[in-house]
Amino acid sequence: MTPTPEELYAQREQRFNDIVALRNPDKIPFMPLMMHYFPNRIAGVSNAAVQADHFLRTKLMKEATLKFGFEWAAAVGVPPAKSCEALQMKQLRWPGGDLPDDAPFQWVEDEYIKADEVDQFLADPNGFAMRTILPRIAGIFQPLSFIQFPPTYWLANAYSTILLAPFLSAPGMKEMFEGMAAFCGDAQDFMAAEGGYFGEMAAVGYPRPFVGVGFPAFDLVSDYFRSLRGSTLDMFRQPDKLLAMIDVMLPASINLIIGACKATNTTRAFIPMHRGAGGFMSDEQFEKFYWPSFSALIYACIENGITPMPLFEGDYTPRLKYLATLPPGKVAAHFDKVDRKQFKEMCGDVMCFWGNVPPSLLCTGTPEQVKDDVKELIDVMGDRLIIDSTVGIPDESKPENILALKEAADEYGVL
Amino acid sequence: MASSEMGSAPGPNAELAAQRLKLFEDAVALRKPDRVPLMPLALQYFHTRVAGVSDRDAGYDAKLNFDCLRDATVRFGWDWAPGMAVPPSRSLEALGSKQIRWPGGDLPDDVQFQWVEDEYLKADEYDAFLSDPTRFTLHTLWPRLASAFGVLGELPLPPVWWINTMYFPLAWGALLGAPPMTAMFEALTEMSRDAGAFMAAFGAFMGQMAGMGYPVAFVGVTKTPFDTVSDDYRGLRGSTLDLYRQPAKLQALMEMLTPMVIGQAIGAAKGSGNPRVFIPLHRGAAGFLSDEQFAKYYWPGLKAVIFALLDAGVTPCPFFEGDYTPRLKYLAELPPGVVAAHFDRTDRKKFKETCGHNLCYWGDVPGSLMVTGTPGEVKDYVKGLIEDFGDTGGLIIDGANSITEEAKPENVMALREAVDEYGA
Repeated sequence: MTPTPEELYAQREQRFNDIVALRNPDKIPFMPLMMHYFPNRIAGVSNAAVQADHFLRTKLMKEATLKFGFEWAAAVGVPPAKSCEALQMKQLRWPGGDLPDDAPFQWVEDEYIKADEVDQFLADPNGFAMRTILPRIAGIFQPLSFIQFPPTYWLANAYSTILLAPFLSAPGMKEMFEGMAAFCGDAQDFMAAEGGYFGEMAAVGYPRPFVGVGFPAFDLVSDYFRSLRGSTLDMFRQPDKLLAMIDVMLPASINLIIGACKATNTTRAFIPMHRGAGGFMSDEQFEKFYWPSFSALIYACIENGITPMPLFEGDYTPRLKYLATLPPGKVAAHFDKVDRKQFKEMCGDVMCFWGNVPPSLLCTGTPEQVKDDVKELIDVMGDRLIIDSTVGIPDESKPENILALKEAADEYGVL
Repeated sequence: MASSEMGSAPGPNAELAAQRLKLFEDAVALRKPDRVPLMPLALQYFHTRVAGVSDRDAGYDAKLNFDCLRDATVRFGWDWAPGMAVPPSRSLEALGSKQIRWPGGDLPDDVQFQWVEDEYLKADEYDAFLSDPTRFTLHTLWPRLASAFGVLGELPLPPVWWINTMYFPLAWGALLGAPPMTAMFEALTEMSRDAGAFMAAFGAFMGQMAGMGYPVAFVGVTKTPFDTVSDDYRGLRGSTLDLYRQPAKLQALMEMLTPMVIGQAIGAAKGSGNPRVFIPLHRGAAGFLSDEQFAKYYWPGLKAVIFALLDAGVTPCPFFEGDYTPRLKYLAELPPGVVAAHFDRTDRKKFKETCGHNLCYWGDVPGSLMVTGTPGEVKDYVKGLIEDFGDTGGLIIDGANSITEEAKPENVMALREAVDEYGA
């Protein structure tokens, strides 16, 4: 008897939850964490086109989910071009902007807070963000850098319409508000497209992977404020200030996830991780600068009934000893490069293993090689395993290799 | 001083502007000026009504408004151009202002705008406001003040510095994708456009007045900490109850707002180059507070604002609205010859005894006389003022509440005739 969509949905949820909780699932699933351009590339649609059209993008997400047998609805994370244009975004470059139509979007890492500005940021993070960070990130916020805007709470009097006239009429202010209105308009389309897509997929039995996304506090500081170079120098030159910035960002790190999950009544959150991997810092530095706020984020999720889904990007083999201390059966740990056997030995009783099929194999290998790799994973991990590539499905994967992931999960994944 | 003020380019009339400004400066400094000056402080609709312009148009058309102000200044022989105190209606409309009602909004075209006093901050919300003023303002106050901001009350807004990443602008999609958010930014766009029109009209006005040799009364405006709390946040009823029920919280809020009221004033003075700041006073008059309450809650904040402005080289122009006779003993403490004190209805014999050594006397021709009296009566009143203060100087003529909208034009003319006749 064919299961109903409700039953399929429940089975898939159950399967994921069982594996995370280290209970025996009915089978090993193929659940890609997220992706960028794979769904449009296999449909012959340009990166620029999906970046500009949310509804086209979600249509292709649906097609890919059904065609490749993902066991939940594909989640795609690409910054929307119209929003970027409306904001005159400087922190991102995108296909259809100044990149070719088939290039992936690019992050422009920079010292958006300079080394000698950390004190100013710490003293007044709101004010500094308004006056200095936002104008550096996006062109429309330029006026905020030169107008002497009073604190918000000074403006609680309708007479302020006169007092504010010099500020509101400053060059670029009208364009800033117009840009924000356009940005909000694009956000409405985005919400409509995503809401429609995930609703439609749920109705045919596919759960939504996650709504909440949050970053470890160190990465918030390093990726977005100080850059890799800046935060690395800070570890040596001004470690206390780096730690103070991490402290300031910790509530953001935690509450972005909890807020999103509570608002949408969902219980999974994606945590992309960037600077904690082997090679970015020593073990000592990891213990001092990365682990405390990262583990605080993980515990906060767990305490709030949220399953954290950290993507341990890079090589996490040297950090397995720390991961082994996390509470068992609570973390959906997704891996990029890690020593499979060492993981099993050190963390096999603490967390499931998700991902790790190399992009090189998916882009250049054969379906047979892909299936062999999945088989090897199953041999090592048993049923505490979820099949996926390393950082979602690579853009340039061969379609037959993605089908092979599904075939392998079905063939070898019922233990 | 005059030549350094905004809009006053050196020209044929720069000398004239300097002479007029000197009348004011002499009076404030308690010197005898060449002639008793006639300097209205701030106007709402007198200048537009005498030109046959509706109150509605006065609020919607800044250029028309300032043209009327220019013409009235010349026609009625004022020694400077008064401040203009009508909020721009298009901005109020864009915001859906609930704190001000305006002609052409839900008021008839010939009714002056109205302030809607309310407990925008409720009695049990002090702690929330004091502990995170920005958040409380965005989430709670603004939605109460203007319907365009209603959406801010419904959304879990993060602090600005959390929005550090533009990685996925639409990580904020749930926040920004609410249709009222688009409407809010469209309203702000409209407000910005209106502010541009207002500033263009104001800039042109300043240039014209300077070209004709007239100083402009002031650009900056601020209030005392107590009035800010009472007028803008708690309402008269709320702040009066607070005096008895939670005085420490009232004090804490006034302390938080003190840098704001000072900063606003100094910022506007420096930004505009006009060193005079208008300080309308509301709740310090007799009848609103006991002397004890005045001494404890009102006077320290007023004094702090005045001293801070003086330290910054700014001339405070407090308007002592209501009866300040019982407060004269406090005002006597102010430093001599530097505060431009404007009075509504204070016993001027007592004023002269108590504050004649330190404050000028600016005012105080009653509104009732200007509206219902005859030119002869107005001139007699001014004559009386000049007799009282003429021997020592320190007098500036104006209506008690400056020139009110219903003043008879011939009575306003009579003010000028009187200073020419009796004030030389």
